[in-house]
Amino acid sequence: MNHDVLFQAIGEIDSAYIEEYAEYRAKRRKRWPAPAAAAALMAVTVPLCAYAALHREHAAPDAPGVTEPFSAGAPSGGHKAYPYGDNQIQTDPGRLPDSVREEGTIVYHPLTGTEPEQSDLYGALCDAGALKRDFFPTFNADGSVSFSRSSDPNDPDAVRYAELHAYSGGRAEGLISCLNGLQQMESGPQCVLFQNGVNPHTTAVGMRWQFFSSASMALMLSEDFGAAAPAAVGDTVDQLAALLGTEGESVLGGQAAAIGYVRQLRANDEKQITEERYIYYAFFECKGFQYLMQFTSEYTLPGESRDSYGASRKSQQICRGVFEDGLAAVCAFLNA
Amino acid sequence: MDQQIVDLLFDRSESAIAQAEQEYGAYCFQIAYNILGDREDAAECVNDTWLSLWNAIPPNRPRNFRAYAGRIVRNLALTCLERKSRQKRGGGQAELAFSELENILPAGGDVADDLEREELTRAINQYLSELGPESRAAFVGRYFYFESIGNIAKRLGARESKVKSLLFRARKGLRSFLEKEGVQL
Repeated sequence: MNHDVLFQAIGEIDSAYIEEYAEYRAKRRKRWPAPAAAAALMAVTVPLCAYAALHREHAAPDAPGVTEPFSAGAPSGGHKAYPYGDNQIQTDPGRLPDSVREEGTIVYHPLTGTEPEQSDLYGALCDAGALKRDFFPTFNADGSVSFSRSSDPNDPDAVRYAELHAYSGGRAEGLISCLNGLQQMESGPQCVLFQNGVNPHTTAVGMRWQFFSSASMALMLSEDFGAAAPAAVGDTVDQLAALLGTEGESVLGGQAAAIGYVRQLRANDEKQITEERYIYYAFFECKGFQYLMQFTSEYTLPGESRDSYGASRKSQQICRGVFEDGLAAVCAFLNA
Repeated sequence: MDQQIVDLLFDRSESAIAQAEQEYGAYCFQIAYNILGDREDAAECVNDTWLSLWNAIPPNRPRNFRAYAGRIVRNLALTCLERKSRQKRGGGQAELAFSELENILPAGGDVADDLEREELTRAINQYLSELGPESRAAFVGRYFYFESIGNIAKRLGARESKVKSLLFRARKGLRSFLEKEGVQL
């Protein structure tokens, strides 16, 4: 009974400590100089390989593997509750063809050096923000705006919305409206004010929509992402910004933009098959603001409209079309 | 992603469960497996976790979805373990972790009589805030997640003997801290 109470109490500890362990990474050990490392490696691997070769036939075929804490798979053997391995960013995803549209031409550039955990820029911005205040506006048919949850009485969602609107120079409602108008939208946006925590003022704002089963679009704007964003976002913005003013930039409705993408691969270990998805990024500057758009497609089998379990999913082509429609709508609105 | 899942739950969209399973299936399974030591029971607990999340959100809007899901699966697995232990002992880490903490607890008394559970949690939070990150991670890994010593050592990049030492000191420190806070020992 006593240990039940103590374990119940430990079960209620601060979420920050629960997260801290889940995210805990051991400090990196010092690297050995290359020659010393090579010599040490040889000293260890040669005898081990010889030993393994001699004893290979005696190895237990289904000896239990070592379980990684919170690894993607369950302990070896038996069925897996979660069949997928870690996401991998394909280092050389090939070049997506340019897309010629009525509004202009979109030139796609594969981004390099992006780690899987850095690919979700909206998430990175959320994780890094010292202070985040979110809300969920719904635009009603009569033109009014309502909010889908009970507000914090000390910080009502209506006030947050007003701050978003003010920060964006009065453009937030129009931006939300034009992206809300995209077909097959499943929900309104989540909006977030990103603020620094020391002397709270808004440094960036973001809006995110959910599409289909698992696709999403996020639009972020800031006067300076370099100051507001963590390194992961800053690196991507730098790569994209370097394309502006070059032959590699895209132009939509008179708006110059840089378009990048990464291709993520996810192995379904149970089915022995790999799924793909793309994350597209657009970066542009307009009227004193930097804009960053991110669209994450659904995982599908390559070239198909289903996932590894046969469930219907929107193809990569359809998802890319929604990204382009959203980008074109935003560019048209800003340059109207 | 967490916020997206919570939003979908608020929208009563069943794709929330699919996304939660994709993102945190392994995480929840590992916690349940640590406690129960049985794959089928752990998988059942994880399935029950999705149902519990569906029933709990809304009205709740957790600020940290992963930790919230972790708490739920942990509670479900401990309940399952209690049920199992009436029949026979489970094979997970929980029994070992229980025995390690026995010395911290009042001899023959009831903690709840002396300090409400919320107060006990507050005291533990206070104690954890005073620990170094490595000791705190070892403690949380062992007594929240029920991780094996070996897995904690891998996560911390330390030897198992060091983890055992960290845990020993953390338990001793917690005992002293709870005494100082007025818990009868």
